[in-house]
Amino acid sequence: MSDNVAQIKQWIIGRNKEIQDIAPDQDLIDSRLVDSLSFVELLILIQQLSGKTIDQSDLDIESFRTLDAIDNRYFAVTTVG
Amino acid sequence: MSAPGLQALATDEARLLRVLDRTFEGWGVDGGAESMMMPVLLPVADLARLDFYDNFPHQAMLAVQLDLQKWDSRPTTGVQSFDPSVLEPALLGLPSAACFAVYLSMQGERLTDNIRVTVLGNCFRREERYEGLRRLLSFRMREIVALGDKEHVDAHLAEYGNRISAFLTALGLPFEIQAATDPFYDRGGQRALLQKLSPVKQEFIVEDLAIASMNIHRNFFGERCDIRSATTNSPVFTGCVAFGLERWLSVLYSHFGDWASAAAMVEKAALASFGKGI
Repeated sequence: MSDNVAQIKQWIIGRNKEIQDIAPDQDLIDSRLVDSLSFVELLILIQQLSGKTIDQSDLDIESFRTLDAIDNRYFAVTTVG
Repeated sequence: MSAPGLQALATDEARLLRVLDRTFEGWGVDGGAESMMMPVLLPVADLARLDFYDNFPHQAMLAVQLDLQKWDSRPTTGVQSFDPSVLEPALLGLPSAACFAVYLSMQGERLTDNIRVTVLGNCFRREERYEGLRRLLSFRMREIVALGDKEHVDAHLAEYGNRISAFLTALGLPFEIQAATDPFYDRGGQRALLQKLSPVKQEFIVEDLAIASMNIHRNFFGERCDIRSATTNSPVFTGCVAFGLERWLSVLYSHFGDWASAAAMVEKAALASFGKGI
């Protein structure tokens, strides 16, 4: 898990006082660790940490379901050649 | 009675509503649901705990008592309304959906199994405009609610969704199933994005009217009402199918042209809808 995703994990834990940890494959949406009110804030955080612009008109929910999915979609190191 | 949004049902309408309600209740009981009855009024403090007044303040209706200390000596003829100054604080609310009472009544329970509950609720929604039986202030909603693990709720909605589709097809009513968003009072519009990406509400639309819906609450009510699985101790997931009964009357009357034909068709389709299991 990259440092960025660790930061995202801490941000989510900070908003859910009753939990201590989040498994990388835990469904953030179905478990309501990220709800409809915090989802937009999560997008903003990912955008800030990744430096990538997220187009809200072209989102795939599967890219946000788990910490692993966020890591793969927004923070995976791309090697060229 | 001539207030907007309040409508009495005549004999034929009331009879058809009861047939519809017994049919949907029967579907629930078929699936093992407990058929319960709930109080119409719910404590404001309990509804507030479910974020009701954050999410739906625009729909909210309250039930208040007269403060007899302040009211005592006044004349009581020709009353059109009560000034807030003669009312006690509002401690009770009128719910906008039937299933809130179910979760509140199960506060603190530990479920050893996946379960279903069905209730008929008197529901109330303040609207900007009312329209015949299509949009009422005071109406009836039958719900079949699932409580348990996520797979149970998913299966519940799939099974009852199929059952509603088959019933509408048997009635010959053209319908569409549309993803919808709850009518949240949402100051920032933020909620809509996740609801669009991951719909939690689907509606059966007939004649541009949502007559039934399938709703996923994830573990929200399980968490807020401390309803947990006895085995995992996790808050249960919940979901419900809901039927707006007066709305069914409206589209059935419009489609069949008179109450007798509508009732005959509904009774036939209702009979055929049993015995197939879900």
